[in-house]
Amino acid sequence: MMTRCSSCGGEIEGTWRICPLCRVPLEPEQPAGEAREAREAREAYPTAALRFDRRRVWAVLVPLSVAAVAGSFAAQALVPQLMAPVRTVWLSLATLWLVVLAAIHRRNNVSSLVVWLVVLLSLSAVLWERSTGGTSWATTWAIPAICTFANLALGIVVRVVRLELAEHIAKAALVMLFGLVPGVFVLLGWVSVVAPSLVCVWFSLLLLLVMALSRPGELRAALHRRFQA
Amino acid sequence: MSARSSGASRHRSWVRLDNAANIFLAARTELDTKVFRLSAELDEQVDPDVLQRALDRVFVQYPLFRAVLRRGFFWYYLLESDRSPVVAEDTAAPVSHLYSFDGRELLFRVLYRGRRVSLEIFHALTDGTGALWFFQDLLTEYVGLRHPDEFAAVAPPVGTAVKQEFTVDAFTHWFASGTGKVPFIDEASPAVESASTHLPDAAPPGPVGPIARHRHPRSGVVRVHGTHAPDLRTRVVELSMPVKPVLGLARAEGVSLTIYLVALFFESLRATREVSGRERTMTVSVPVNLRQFFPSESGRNFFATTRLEHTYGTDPEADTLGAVCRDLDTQFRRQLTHESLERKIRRLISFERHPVLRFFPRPLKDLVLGMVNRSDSRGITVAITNLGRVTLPTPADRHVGRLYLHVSAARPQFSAMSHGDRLTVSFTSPFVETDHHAAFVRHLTARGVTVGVEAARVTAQEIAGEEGAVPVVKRGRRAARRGLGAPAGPATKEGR
Repeated sequence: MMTRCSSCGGEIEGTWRICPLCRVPLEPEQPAGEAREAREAREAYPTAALRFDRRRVWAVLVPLSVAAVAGSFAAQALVPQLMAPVRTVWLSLATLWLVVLAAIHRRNNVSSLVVWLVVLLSLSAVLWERSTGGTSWATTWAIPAICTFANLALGIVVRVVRLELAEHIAKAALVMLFGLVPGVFVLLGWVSVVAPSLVCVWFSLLLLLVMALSRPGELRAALHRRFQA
Repeated sequence: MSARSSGASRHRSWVRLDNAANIFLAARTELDTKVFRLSAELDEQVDPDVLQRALDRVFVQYPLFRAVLRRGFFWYYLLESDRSPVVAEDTAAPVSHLYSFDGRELLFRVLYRGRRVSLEIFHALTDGTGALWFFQDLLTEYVGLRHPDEFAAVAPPVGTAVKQEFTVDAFTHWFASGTGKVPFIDEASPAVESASTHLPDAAPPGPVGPIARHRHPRSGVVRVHGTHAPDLRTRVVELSMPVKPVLGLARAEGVSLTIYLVALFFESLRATREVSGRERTMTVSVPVNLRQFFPSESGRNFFATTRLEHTYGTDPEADTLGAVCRDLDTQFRRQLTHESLERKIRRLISFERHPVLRFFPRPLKDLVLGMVNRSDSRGITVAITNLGRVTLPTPADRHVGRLYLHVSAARPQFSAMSHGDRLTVSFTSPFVETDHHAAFVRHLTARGVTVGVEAARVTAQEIAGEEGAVPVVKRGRRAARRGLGAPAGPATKEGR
């Protein structure tokens, strides 16, 4: 099926309603009310969904980050002695950006990267605390924040970057399970403030629940594949 | 660069990445995937099972295609793998990424959709000619399996002999030792461009003046800017037309088809993007298939790029399409001599064998090559590739219609090839704008050539099926300085 463009004179193939080059409307030759699938089948190229939309990614990430940074300054101004939580906000945002940018830049195994990121950042936080001596910043603030934001980043990646979760489901579940670790810190009494750990645990549980309910088959299959003896 | 075994128990060939291919890794970006695609339109719906059988048969004859890309400390290398390719339905955007940094996948994929078969290849594996050999055999084998009755009278379609050995590298074969010391930047830049090309017309042996080595200017060169797609995919626009009338237009100007199409490309850009006072030179990068000059059976990259340019001035007589054609033609002939190409390649080789540079760690080489590539890109307006006229064995030829070549692009580019009486010119661009494409089509249709247009959907609106206006770069002062012109639309300087 071909339609001639009145502007460039080209014979436009496929099912375009306007000339893809000149943007002028074409005479409709295609059957009215034709189903989208039938229309697409007649095109030489698949209508491949966008892998991500840069503007959407920035629209989510930038305001979130600006709000968090502004909030962290405000909190510090209002309440003295807030260095630990404020430092945590910055670490959390770094985690979020790293994961989302890595996903956009098409690393094949984003979820492996997230697992490594969570482990390495958490270890760094512990070492940092050891070297500076003493408070329970790592267990109270850093590790819960890293886990929470890694989970949040995975959520953003799946929603906005349209990562195929099926391929990454086992590792994603692992990241969510990491999110339960701060709960152990609370039980062992390693934290000075329980709120960050509780937020992390509840958020991870929520995500695990959503995943288990929305994709039970895929999750089971992926776990079976990974853990077959 | 010879084959080695990687283990005592299992002999797997490996080979250091060839000369031209090294730059592809460094020059690869999110926008420019360094993947190219050969497509063929058949006369009926593709049968995936038959295509898989055809692929299995051809695959065993091309050991090179078993390669996966690995990273060494100093260089990348191709390692023979035991993976087998599986045909897949074409569902993603054309020329999507193939090689991932930590992946161990094959460096090509075979796709089908409707009546089309496509072969996508990462450029580090092979060039256009190497890929075309594989693709021709794949098509022949497919048609042979699909229509066995027609092949009964002739020899088996493809045979079983090994065709592209894993380790044969034409650069090494022909240019065993580099000579002379030259600056690094000169060595690294010539191979940046894409697939090789058959020359449309043989370059005459006639008298050519001495070739002065000079650095190409980077300032004053027109560079095209635009809006990237939301997910950075490549804009693909295919034009198809009968060969004869276009060849007639080229002959009327006394030049080859390639040169005519390049001049027309320049003209289309000029018609839609104003050439500002400072930026008046348009340049094009044209890859040349070296096998024509240095015969080789190697399927691995074996090409060099030439650069042609035209500076638009105040004299309208010197800037007509015909005058630009002749200017480009003269430059092309001068560069297409055995000696000129040999000198170019030897410089490239001596870079690779440079006693100090070769011991730079690979990430550092990537970094430097990437910088060299970016610097070099500033001196190039557009790029083109012409694979020339392609034929298939007779029984297969009947079932194959148009052939297409698409090359991922860091700048506006077209790739031409012809089969039978159909010429295809496939434009690829990192930008969504389609203004110069429209001007190109207008020029041809105004001269009585029937042009078919096919485009892949790129923007969110196009994908949603409501082909609304494409966001176009605003023509502000900054844009005008860069040489940006009118937005896509029916009204251009060239008119309708």
